[in-house]
Amino acid sequence: MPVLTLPFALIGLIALPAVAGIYLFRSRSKRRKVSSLMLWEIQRRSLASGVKRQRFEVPLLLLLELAALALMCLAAANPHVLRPDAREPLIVVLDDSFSMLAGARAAGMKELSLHFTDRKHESFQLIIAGTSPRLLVPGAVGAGAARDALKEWTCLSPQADINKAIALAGAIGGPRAKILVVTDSPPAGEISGRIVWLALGQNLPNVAIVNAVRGPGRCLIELANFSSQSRDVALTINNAGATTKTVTLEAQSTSRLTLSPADDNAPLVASLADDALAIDNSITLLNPSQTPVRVKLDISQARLLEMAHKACEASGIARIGDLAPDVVVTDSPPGAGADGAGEWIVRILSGAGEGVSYTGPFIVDHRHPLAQGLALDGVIWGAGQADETAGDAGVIWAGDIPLLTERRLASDRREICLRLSLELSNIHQSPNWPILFHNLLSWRRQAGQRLTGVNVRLGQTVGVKARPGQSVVRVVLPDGNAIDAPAPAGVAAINVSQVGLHQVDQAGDGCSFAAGALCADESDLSRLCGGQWGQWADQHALRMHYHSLAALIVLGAAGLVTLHGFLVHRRWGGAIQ
Amino acid sequence: MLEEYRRFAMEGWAQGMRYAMQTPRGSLIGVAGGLLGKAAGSSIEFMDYREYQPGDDLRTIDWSAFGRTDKLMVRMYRQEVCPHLDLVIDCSASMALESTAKARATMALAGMLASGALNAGYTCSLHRLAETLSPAVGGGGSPLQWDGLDLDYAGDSGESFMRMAASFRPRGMRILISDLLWRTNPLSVLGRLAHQSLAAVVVTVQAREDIDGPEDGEWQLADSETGEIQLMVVDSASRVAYRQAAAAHRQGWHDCCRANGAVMVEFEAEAFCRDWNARPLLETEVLRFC
Repeated sequence: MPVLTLPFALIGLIALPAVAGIYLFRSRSKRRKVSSLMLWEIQRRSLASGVKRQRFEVPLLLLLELAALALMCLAAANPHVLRPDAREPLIVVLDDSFSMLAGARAAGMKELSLHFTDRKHESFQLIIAGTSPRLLVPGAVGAGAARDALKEWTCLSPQADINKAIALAGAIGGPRAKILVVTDSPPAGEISGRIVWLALGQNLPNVAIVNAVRGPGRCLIELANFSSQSRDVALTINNAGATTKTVTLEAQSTSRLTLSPADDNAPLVASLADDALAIDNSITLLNPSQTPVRVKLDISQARLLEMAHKACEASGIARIGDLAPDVVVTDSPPGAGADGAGEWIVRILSGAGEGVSYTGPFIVDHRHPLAQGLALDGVIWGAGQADETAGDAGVIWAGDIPLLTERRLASDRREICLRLSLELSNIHQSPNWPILFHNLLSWRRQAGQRLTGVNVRLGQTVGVKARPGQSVVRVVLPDGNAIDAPAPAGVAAINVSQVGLHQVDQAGDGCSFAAGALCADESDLSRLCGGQWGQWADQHALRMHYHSLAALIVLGAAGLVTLHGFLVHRRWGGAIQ
Repeated sequence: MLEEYRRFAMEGWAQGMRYAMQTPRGSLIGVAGGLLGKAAGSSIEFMDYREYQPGDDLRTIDWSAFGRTDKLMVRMYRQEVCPHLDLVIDCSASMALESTAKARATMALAGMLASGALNAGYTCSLHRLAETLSPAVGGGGSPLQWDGLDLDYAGDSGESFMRMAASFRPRGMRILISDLLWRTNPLSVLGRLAHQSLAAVVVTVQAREDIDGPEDGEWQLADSETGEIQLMVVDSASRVAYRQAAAAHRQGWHDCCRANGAVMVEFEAEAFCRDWNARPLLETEVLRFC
């Protein structure tokens, strides 16, 4: 495709009608008196038969002049064409966020079909800009393969990190590659260099479900109206029968609804009427099974037993008893205690030898599930100096003294050692005490479940435990396709990329989880716009990759002028007027 | 008559003071008059002998010479002329073609011939050839006395010539000044011009443009006499064709003049006005130096 570097030179084309006018004016016959016409009579007879030939010469000369002038104007515009050997690789960054489904993806497909031609680019690479960037097809491909690969551009990510994707494109493309970003929103900053930012979004009104959680006996659903006008929206709820609720949403506002499912065990499906973006109009919520953690308190010290009992009850997820406990809390020394399958042992070592009170600072591994939410400032932690902790991993330290440790035992059992002397401590009088027990019980309950979550958001990762002895987990996606996810160390990480109900190991002890497109930023279409930023064809690129046609066109114009001169010479016998 | 034309005629009159008119050789009919001509004639002044040729008047045989030489010899006497010039000027508009020197050359030649005629003792009558052939006022004198010679007739002078009532003096010399761009048959014109004349001379005055045609271009050619317009693209080829047609036209007049015993003299107006060269008239013995 030719490029005109000086298109204003084409203004010279307005000279064409002027030349035509001058030509016609000049070619108008002038009156001239002669002595007599008698000597022209023979030629009048000749003209009558040769009038067509005579008339033909006049426009031919005019056409030659006009063509030469047009060519010179075109040459002045300095047209360039792409050199055959100057094709560059094109890397396309595709916004995979689900807001693209509001028309931008379809427009992008159409736009990209224009770019995907082998004549213009050496090769193509497609990068999906989702939560993290990834290559849509491995390596560089031709135009046809790139077009085919676009079918896998699903736009089902909760967000698009385009900057990371551009960085990846720059890394894999090298200095020659051009980068085309196809998205639905304008760039945050200046676009320069070899990047063209193509935004195809439209500012559209949208009503969406932006938050939804389900607990025992109730659900919370948050609706948002991303438009400039208030709306009455109908929310249809399917749970042991369909009901409809009408909610009035002010412009650019949200509203939270609390629902009580009629059937607490059945899925609850909430949906809105269709609008600009369909994916955020529906959500499926499953009942998260809140199986209590069975706790056995095998503690001889009355004071400690009381404190442990209170903490377990306060957690709300513990059922204290002796039958098939999940967790055994004991103050017996190491080597004694339960050995049931799946039991976790919490061993409280309450001060062998002389006790020492530690006032801090404490070293806490806040990444550990046991340490989440702990704040030990001002806490006095007393422990016996001679207590032996058998843990492999320390969670809380006072200097080089481990106060809380844990270690993995066989059959997914764990042993947690807590060095604590209540007489020398005040931690049991601080909020850290129930927090510590809640962390412990939550960790245990989570370890006993197959899924890390049943109601998840698009883009989240769900951990699924494999069956004993199996290394893969089969998940049936909402679209009906099944995937076998590898489960190294017995747990498969499922990246949620579809909205709806996912079935895990349908046969036997199967379970399921539901995913929803819950992201207010993506549902807000009012921030979208269309436009193009950046330009590939800069002067440097012109010089490097384009041929100038100016000389060729001037040569053509010179040829026309020469032909014109020849015809004039032949016609006027050498006397050019 | 335009003063401009009178001035042109006076220029020719002045140039013609060097010349005197003479009767061209091969006069059309016998002459008789008060002046001795250059040719042999019927006067009483002996000029020469020559051998008898069949058809000679037996009265001119010199029998004495026959007795002496045994040859039939005839006596030749100098021609006795009583010369008169009828000068016809074509007053059609084409003779005053704009941007050419035709008008000036025409009037100058008329003045020159009138002057030469007077120098030779001729009487002179001036005729205006327009819609009719009519005598011009003051034709016997100098151009200062001439009148009515406006070159403005919008018609075919040849046809007018053919319609004329014969008013030429018998045995006089007749000179027609014209560009001859007529459609009329030259034989008819010349027959009428030469009838009972001592000599008939046709002086053609044509502009360079009449000979070569206009320069190249697309023209609306307007006939200066009829006003008829013709669109023409003039180029080298059409110019060649025009020159050939013009030359053929002149040659036709030449041939007709020869056939009628007339003399045709050609002048290019621009060249004549440049150097007043009357050589064609001298070569055809219409004029001689005084």
